[in-house]
Amino acid sequence: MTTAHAMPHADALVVDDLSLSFGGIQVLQHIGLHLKAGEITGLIGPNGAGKTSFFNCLTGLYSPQQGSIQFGGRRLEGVPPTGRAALGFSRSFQHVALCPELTVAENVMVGLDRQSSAGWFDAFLPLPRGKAERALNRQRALTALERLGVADVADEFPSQLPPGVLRLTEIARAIAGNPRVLLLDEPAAGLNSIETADLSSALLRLRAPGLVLVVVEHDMDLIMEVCDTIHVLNVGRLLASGGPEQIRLNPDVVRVYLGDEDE
Amino acid sequence: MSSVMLSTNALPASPAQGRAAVSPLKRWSAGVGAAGLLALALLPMAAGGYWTYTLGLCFANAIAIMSVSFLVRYAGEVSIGHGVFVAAGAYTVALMEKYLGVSLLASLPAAAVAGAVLGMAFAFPSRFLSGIYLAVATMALALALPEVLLHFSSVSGGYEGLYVKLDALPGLAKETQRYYLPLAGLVAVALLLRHFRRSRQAMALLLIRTSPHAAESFGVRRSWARLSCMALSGAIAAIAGAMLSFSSSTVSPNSFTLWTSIFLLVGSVVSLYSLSILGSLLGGLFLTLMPLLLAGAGDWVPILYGSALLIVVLGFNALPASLRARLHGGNP
Repeated sequence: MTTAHAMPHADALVVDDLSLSFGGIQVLQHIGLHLKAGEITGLIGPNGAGKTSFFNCLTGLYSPQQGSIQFGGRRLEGVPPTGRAALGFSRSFQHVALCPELTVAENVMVGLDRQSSAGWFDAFLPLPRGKAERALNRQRALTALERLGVADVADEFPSQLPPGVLRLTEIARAIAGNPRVLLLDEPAAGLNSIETADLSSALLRLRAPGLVLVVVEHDMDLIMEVCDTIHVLNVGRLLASGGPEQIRLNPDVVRVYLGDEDE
Repeated sequence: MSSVMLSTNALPASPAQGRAAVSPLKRWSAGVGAAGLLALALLPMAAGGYWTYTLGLCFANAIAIMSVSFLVRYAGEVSIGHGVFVAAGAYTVALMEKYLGVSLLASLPAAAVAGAVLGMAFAFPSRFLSGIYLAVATMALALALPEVLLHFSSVSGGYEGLYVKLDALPGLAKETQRYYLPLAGLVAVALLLRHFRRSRQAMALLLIRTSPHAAESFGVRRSWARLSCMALSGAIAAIAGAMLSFSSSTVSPNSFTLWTSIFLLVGSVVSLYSLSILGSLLGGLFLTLMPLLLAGAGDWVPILYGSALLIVVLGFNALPASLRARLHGGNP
């Protein structure tokens, strides 16, 4: 288990009274969280608890009916996903969302698009500025892949690779642009035990003073190992919050998520 | 606010992650490609005027086919109205010659801009349409075009159309110009698109086509993607139209009916939506030569044409994946 780091409040992601519904179905109800920079925060819960919907609210893909999200003191209502990306939000997806026509390195380079400035002339003509930026972006993509231990497949296409490597490629894309908020949705899904152990080490290395890092995951060993704070969602409500030991011993969490041995 | 200590700039990349060495197969196919281009460049010395004229049209059609393939590859959308953008380029060249007295080389950039503007003008109101709905919307454009041209017959020349007579390269024989200019256009467009594929814009377009939410999460806007794709596709189609008008010396509404657009889509399918010279040329050859080969078949033409289309499409899809990848332009 790791300990929480001191962090400036200004970099925190603050969620207050967030509610989301589709038609009559309440997906999230009155969620209030303080996601601190410098920590690794875990978000767990059974299937259908609303974890991915919560991520989609944070990144602007869903618009909650109630509540607010603030980052660095700025309210994010009305800020589209592209605007939140510009603020430093980055994420991976529950279902791998890589482009099959791009190589692994190119997929990661898309994560640097918002920081790139090469224009249309650079796109069509071999001009020095475009070539230099492309070389720099490739280098940064390779470095991100290196951190996840998958740089050797940089020039392969996703269709030629196993799910675990694709998952790590997605994470590399998410970290390539030096995000300020990094949301990882089930990063260990599809990984074998060795890959999961490598991922665990990589996540711990990602921890940084100015980074809000939130991990949704079903692998409890991974969550308990890397997270400083864990929040538990159940049917759209916040069930419990605390450190890994507190969560492990919380009877409500044990009952609804880890399973009640008496049942 | 504190900066994030996640920088990936500082770490050196492993030497093993450099670009893969050029494989012998790639070298071999590059050599074959260069030899093919050389053969095309020398062909007019051996072939007669009929064949140089027909191949000039074929090269222009290949560019038009690339414009449809570009939309399919980068936007994931099908157009059955691209004849409109081809017409925009063709009429721009003809009108600039008629009213300003300038030749193809001067009017070609204006034609490309006209196609891009028309593409954007169409893309903006249709930016929320996709799939079959967008295809039908493009079809509406193609259906309306001949009537629009006839309505403004004082400018467009009506049924008779307009003539493109000025030499683009004075001093060269007309038939030589009609062959080499479309060929140069085809090579130039293919090279530009090859370079474009490595750009950040191309990568963003490809990602937003397959995973829109993921692309938006990395700052790529859907509206930007749609407008960009339609504008670029329209510009390429307009360049093809400019070349067609020059090669055929005339533009008229009959050249840009709904069937023109449908055959462009057919050519794109035959080329396997390729953006390479070889692939688009195969589509262009099918589009240009098949009607000529079947000209004597009378009532059997539609049946034979359909059969030929089936044979070509099924045959291409039966090729080994590596060969199809080459036709695609190197992508799987």
